[in-house]
Amino acid sequence: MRFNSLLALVWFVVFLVSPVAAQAPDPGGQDGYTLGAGLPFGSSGVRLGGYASTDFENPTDQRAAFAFDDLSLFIFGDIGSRVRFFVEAEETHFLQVDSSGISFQNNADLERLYVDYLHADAFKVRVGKFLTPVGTWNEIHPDPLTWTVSRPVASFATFPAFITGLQAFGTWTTSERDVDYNLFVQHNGSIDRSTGDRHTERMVGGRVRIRRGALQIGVPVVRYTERDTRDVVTFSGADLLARVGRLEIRGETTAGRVRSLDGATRAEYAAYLQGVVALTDRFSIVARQERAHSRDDETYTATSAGLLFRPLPAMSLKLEVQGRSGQVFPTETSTGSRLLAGFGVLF
Amino acid sequence: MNVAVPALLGTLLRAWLQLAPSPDIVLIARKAPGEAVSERMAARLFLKERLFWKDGSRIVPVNLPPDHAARQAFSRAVLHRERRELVAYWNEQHFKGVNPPVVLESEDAVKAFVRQVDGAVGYVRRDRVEPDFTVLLVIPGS
Repeated sequence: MRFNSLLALVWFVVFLVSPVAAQAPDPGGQDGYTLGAGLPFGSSGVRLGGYASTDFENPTDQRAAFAFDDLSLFIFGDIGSRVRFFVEAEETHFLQVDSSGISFQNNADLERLYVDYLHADAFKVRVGKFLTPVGTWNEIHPDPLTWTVSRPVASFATFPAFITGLQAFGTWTTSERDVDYNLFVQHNGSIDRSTGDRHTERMVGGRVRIRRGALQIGVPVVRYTERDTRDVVTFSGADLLARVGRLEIRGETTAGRVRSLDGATRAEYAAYLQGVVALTDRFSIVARQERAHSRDDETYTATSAGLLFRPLPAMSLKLEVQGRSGQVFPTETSTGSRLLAGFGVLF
Repeated sequence: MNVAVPALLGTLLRAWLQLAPSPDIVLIARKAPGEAVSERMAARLFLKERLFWKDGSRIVPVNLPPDHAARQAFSRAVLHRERRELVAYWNEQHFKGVNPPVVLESEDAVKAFVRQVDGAVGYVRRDRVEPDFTVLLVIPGS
């Protein structure tokens, strides 16, 4: 009853705010804070921002819980015309309320810490810890900017979400299309060893992505060594993003081969396909189908249907029903169907 | 009732603005960048997808405020996005550590900025441009 009341309070606040915020704020000002665009420090090119999200989960096989899922703070900026930096610290799932009471947990980590050297549009270099450029969800994953409370397993659980190393990237442009490339390498431990579900010490990979109008297609190829098991994983994948009118189709897949120290090889794959229909500027409906197969021969499927309300582009209120079967990843304690609700804001 | 009246006026104002003719807009720089600027390239400059001119100098796009007639005409004709879509785009860029273009209050301020800052590019209504600028692109009004 207590957490239902909390959830109702969050919903109430959002609905209270939404009519006031009828006009989305312009992000380009330098004189003050803008929701979704952070706080610029005058004309220095440095900006402070972050995001926060809460969620409510009610699975059929476990007790319902309300959690502060993410509190992230980041600062970034341009240093001259060719150098920029980014630092992000995050506290994840640090407060949970369920029928047993309130619990706190410190899960702070350094999400991103990198410096870019911008030599040219076709050649930039990134050094530090950054999001692995695989798929479309991982690189823009904060709850306020995504579509469902749950995150598809193909977007984070089948590859290391972060890399600490070196990346070369850029874009070639022709008259009709843009071709982005990323080449990345890691030959060391992570700056913060706690982040992500897959921990690596060696990784090499690349991605090519073609964008033409409202369509983009990406193809990554990655090989990495897992820190704890010393398994060597080689995978390739594909991602798709297409927008037609009020419809958005998004999908990702990865398929890999895992080679253990004893020489045995196993296969694993994951995929999702998601459709979003914008009913109005603020309301969208979402449907997603997922399927994954782990190296331990477990198969997982999930079907999600949801409603997304964005009173402002930087703010999201989500409701989702998800049916699941199987369990691929040991970090998930619940395997049943569930009702999810979430609120997130980018600030 | 008190809430409905401003909402109705706002709707009528938006409808009027959409019906109102948009002015000719010109994209201006202090000197020619040594390459042709198409509408698609102009969009890439103002979305910060392209950062450098052909000579290697940094491109510095400058915007007008979102309610300015020239900004609205530019966004519709070149960026092909409504205001809310652009805000959503810049929210994503914020998460990726990309600063949005500088916003200046008036066309006079844009012209002064373009005169002073190397690599700067801005847009003004065609009848406001002065002869010391290089016109990179003309965007016809409706």
